[in-house]
Amino acid sequence: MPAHLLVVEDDQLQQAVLKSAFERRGYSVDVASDGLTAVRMLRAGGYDLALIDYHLPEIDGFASARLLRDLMSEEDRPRLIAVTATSDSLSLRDASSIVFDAIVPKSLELPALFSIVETHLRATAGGQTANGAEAAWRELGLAGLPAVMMLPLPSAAQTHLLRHYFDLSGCREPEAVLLLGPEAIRDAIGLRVHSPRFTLPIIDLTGCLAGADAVFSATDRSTWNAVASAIIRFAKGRTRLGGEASNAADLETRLLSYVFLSGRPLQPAADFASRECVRYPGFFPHVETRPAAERLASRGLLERRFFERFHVCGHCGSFRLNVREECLSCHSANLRDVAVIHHYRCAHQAPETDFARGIDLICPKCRRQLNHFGRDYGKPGKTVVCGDCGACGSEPAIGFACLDCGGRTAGDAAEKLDIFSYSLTIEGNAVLQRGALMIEEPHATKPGVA
Amino acid sequence: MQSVLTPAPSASGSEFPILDLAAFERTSGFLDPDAIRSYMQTLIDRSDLLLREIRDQAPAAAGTGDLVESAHALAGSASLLCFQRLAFAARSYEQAVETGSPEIPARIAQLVTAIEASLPEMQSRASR
Repeated sequence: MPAHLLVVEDDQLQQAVLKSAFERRGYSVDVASDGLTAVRMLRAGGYDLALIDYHLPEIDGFASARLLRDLMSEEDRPRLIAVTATSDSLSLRDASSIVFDAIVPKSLELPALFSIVETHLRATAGGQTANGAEAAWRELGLAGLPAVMMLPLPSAAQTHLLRHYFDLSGCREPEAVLLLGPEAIRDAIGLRVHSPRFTLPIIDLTGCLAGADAVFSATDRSTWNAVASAIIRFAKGRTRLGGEASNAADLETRLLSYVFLSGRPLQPAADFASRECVRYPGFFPHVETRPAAERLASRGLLERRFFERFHVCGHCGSFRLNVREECLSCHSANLRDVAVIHHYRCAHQAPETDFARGIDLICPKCRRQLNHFGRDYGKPGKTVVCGDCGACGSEPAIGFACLDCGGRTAGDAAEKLDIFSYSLTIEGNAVLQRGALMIEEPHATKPGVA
Repeated sequence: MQSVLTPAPSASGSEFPILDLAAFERTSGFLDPDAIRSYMQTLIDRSDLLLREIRDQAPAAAGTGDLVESAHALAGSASLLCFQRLAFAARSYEQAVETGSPEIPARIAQLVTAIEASLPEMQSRASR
């Protein structure tokens, strides 16, 4: 159940902004436009926290809060936060530090306001989950709830749930990126390629996005461990990365830095949704990742290890090929195996279909009927017959039909491409840390082509 | 007890940006784009109204309640939407009136300048 807030503000525009912002963040929000109404609503109960403007009609925010202190017990009373454009005047009132749990200026940005509200909510019964999560993260070596940025922007319900486990305030520099759905993959790639935050670990909250640095599930404690490890590993790595690598704009340096930060090789995984059939981890643009890794390997900064060999469509470059047996004459795959009959008397050999006349077998050469297998005739083997052109032969050809463009590539004409995993070399490690990574022009050849 | 107090304002105000773009982007991330346009239009209407009120007032009436109320409302909403220079100017005027400062005419002039400087940005944001 979402925390229930009361915004006490006489200005309708500010009311609307605060209500909308807190509702989008997952809270249930009511508004009151004057001090007396606010006192009545808060006394009726059900609120976890009230944001009270100091400057209010009827009775001002200070008087309203003092009244609530008098009328409600400490256990029943919600947290009271003063929001004021003129905090100086409020702080001059001696008792303000007693009646309010916090005083914040209106000049405070929304993320900072969220942070303060959430800090106070954690102190209430509704904040127990957050307290538990905070303790759990600490046990795993983090300072508290990890500060995160989320892709895409979360729904109100997601925010409400996630704020128990992560610091969503936006007040601290993020330590990780949370991926909330597959629609965010494009944003994640954009982050790796263009954002100065490309050195953050990406955490998958869906459990089905291949290539993330860790998966998080609130109910699976092992995933907490993986997330904490990733955050710590990336944070330590960032401190060791040279300035040039940390601020790199080019894909190769970013990719090399990622291998360094993630502490694991770029290990391809099967991905039949893509034309390349494999995907490297880390959410780099997969078409460009392999060539970039190859360039780094050719400079000795990454080390290749063979993963798989693919054949490539000669028309569109796709790896998604259907390997098939084809007719030697017309390249149709409409082939069938037919037994070969050897007529002992006239020595004629032909496919069984040439002998078949209804249920009888008649030799097409001598016109005699074949009655007894083993005496009149034998079946020494099989032949392949094309259902389209009728050609037959002992062996079919091998060809590839592209599942993407439909083009046909002959088996012996298809280009072969070796796919590798890539791990950081000692030289790559050293280059990153001394920050002297000069990226050369891409090679003109096609490395990796077998 | 946690208190986050505003920094003491300086005399000018031109050191504040018309719109703190970074803060605005952080804030607008939590708001519906259509709602932001509507908030901007309200801010424009309030700014226009305050300008008219200031221009219609006799100089002796510069510290009257209506004007201060309008400036107070504008200060809060401008601040929330990151129009820093306008928020500062409106608050400075409000404080000058509260303390009976002789600088009220100068603060009004500063407020008018801040409104006029901020309106194009508000109009631009309202039409996006």
